[in-house]
Amino acid sequence: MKLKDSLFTRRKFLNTLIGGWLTALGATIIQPVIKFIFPPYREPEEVILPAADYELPGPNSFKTFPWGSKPGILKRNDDGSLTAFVAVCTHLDCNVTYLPEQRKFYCACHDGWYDENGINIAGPPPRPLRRLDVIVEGEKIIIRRKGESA
Amino acid sequence: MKSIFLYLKLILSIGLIFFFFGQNFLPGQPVAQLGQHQLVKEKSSNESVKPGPVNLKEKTAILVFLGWMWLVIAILIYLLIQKIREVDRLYEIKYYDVSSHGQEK
Amino acid sequence: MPKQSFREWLETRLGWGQIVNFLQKKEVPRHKHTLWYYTGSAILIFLVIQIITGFMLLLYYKPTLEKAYQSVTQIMTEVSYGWVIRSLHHWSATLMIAFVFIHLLSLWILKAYRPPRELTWMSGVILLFLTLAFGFTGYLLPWDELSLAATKVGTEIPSTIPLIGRWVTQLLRGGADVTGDTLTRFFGLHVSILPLSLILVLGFHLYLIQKHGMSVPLREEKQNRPLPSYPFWPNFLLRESVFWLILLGSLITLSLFLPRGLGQPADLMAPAPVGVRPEWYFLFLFQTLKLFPATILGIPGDTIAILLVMVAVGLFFFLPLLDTDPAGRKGKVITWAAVAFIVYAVVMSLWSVL
Repeated sequence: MKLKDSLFTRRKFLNTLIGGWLTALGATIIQPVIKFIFPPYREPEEVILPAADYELPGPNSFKTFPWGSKPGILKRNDDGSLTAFVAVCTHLDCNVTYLPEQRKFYCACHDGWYDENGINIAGPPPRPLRRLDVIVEGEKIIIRRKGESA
Repeated sequence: MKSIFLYLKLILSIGLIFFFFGQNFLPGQPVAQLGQHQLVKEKSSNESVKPGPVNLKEKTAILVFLGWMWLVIAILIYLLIQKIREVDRLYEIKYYDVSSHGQEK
Repeated sequence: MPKQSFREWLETRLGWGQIVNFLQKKEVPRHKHTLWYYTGSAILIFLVIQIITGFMLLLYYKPTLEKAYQSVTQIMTEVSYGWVIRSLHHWSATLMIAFVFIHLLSLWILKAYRPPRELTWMSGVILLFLTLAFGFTGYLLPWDELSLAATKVGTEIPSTIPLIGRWVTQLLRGGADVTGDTLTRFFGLHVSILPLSLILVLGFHLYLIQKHGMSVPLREEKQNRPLPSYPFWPNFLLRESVFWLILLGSLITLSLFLPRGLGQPADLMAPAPVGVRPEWYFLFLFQTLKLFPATILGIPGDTIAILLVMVAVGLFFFLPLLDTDPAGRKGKVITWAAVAFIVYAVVMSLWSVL
């Protein structure tokens, strides 16, 4: 009969091996499970707005549009060009509003302020508002993610 | 009793093989033959959302995954059989009777 | 204070050693039919997989008339590995129901329901019907045209029961017809009412199994010699885990090679699609109902069929009380009735497919 000591060693060795391969199997299976749980990324590539609805006659006028599930703000600049922002505070994801009289974006959640170019100027926001590309094509205003316009 | 189980196993295996494989490996039947015998999982005509891998890369990935998974399972089964031999031997020499609980794992 | 290992610390607080002790003392008899003991835990494995994949599908599924089909499409096309998870849920259900049938039929033939295990059998029959209810309600949820048609037929069948039939159908459908209300109702059943009921009955079933131990086949019992056995933990459990690994591998392989599809979206106003047919486990009932003529002696054939089925279910449920003489002639007849039922179910199922 074998010594008890050798028995224990063999048992521990086997247990470790089984544990290790079980972990390997678990890791193999858990990977798709985790990927499934994380929802597919669904920010739009681009949003097309009818130009007629977004005339924005005067400088400093603005209108909101849906950027996927977030609000966007389309704003007429003083030189007549258009700028689009994702109207979500960079602090804690609250929706911001544009205050034309003050020429500032305002986030009511934690009193965050951005200037008319979306630069964070007061309060907790750590970064400027996210900007989007605006392309005017005849009757359409195409809004794309920054840097992806052809 | 023995003969009943022989029949049972035979019937079950034929039935199971048919249900699990028969229905699905016959997707390409001509529509004219289908009529009222059309299958629930008729792939060629009824399915608007086709599941499964969409390109060669995904097909290869699935095969690699399955190969790896079965390899791991085979190794685990080999190890478990060793473990079973060990615990059976321990049981035969009445190892558990003298030891207190919590010894095994 | 002496130094404690973490295991000892936990042990003093949880007392798990008692459970291990109990499981070590629980002996599993060894004989040539020991194999059938594995079918029970196979069902449990698939149940666990159903619960996990079900939770996962719940993250994306939307149980409304407008969104159900669309959300299933989203799961299958947009979500990473979505089609795999849905396919796993489908195949795990299929295999679970297959093993429920194998489990019950093997116990029927082995007469494991002999006293004192009558209630174990009866709770098992309830579990069978809960499982079938899971299959039936789950089939509607993708809301494609075949699932709609199959549910219309399935919920119409009880309406032929005398007196209460119409009422049962309306209760099942949440109205006179299968609509979005039915979908909501079936969803609630599938993800909440049925799981809770299943866990309660299953707990009762497992408790009885622990209380009475494993049943030994009549022939082995009659030989009046101590049967060889091994402890449940770890000897039997390790053997079972080998079987589980094979089942898990087979399930994943099936799900990847034969993924579950999705038909055209359901349209409440469209004519029934060709080839409406329930899932395979209802096929023999489906075919039986088809065989009955429109009227027998002035009574609608459907009514007679459904009453016969109900009588059969009753007999099945009360089988332990009917089989009063398991070793005698009556017992043999009941054993062969199981074989006859299997032959009948297989023939009918094949007939309805071919």
